[in-house]
Amino acid sequence: MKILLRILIILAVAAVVVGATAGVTQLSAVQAAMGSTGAGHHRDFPQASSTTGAVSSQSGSTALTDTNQSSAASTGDQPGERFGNSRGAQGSSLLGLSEVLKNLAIVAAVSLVFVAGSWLSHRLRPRLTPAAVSKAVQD
Amino acid sequence: MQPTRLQRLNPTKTNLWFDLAIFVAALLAPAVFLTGLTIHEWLGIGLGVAIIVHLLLHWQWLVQVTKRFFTRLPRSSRINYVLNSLFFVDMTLIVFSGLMISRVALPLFGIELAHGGIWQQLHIFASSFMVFILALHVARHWKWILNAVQRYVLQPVFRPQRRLAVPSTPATLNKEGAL
Repeated sequence: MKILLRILIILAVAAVVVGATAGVTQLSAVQAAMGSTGAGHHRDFPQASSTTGAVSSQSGSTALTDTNQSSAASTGDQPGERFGNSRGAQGSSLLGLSEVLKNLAIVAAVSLVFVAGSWLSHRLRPRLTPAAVSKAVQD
Repeated sequence: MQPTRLQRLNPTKTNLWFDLAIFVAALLAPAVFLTGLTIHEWLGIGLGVAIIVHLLLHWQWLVQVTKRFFTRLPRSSRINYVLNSLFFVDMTLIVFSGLMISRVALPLFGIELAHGGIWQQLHIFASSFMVFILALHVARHWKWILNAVQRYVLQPVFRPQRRLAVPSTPATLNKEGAL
């Protein structure tokens, strides 16, 4: 019962977040801004409605030409088919693997910067001698 | 009274393996070219459920910090709380926008929503942002991760005889419970 209540609280907070976002997306200014920046900008998968076009990564590092987007998007199980050649599956896997590695590299880099920063701040912090501590207490 | 199997589980060990699974899922989920759309969508839904379980596992910390957020609280806890809140909002947006543009999971239940548009852009933006918040989340807990991996992964593998000397309830490791 307690766990159920907690789950309901979490879902309620999530509903507030979703509601607020849905409200914001209804604003014409936001729709205009998103429309101007995001037109034809799909990183992960092609639009189901389109039959031809380009799939590009958000970072702009990859761009794939595709002629069978509709069928590939509807099944979704064989992303390699999107490449339209025999090496499609391999290329697709490599692209996916590179994305995983990129994410892992971001996590590693941020962690390293954070660890280095905390280590440096620990090293640079002035250490109080017992005499200084007793003086501070007296003051 | 005999403790149940769940009560006998070491919380640190449970958290470590569960968090590791979430971490791997969070790295794999955005790579739709690797997993395929079906796995991508179900992994995303699973990740949403996993986040709820993760919050339930850390419920005490959550309640304590929420109560004391505007009063006395260590700065690190305050930063963690803000970061975790951002993470929760971001994950909620990813899962919800993902459901809105779902092509496999929801149609399986006969629900077909409009694809593309603002939800797709939001999904892409939120998932890119998620990687950075995940990185910060991992960085903020790197000491705990390092200690837990050393104790529960490396030590049992490389020095199994020393495992007997390790106390069964390592209070020092369970930093999440403490403020």
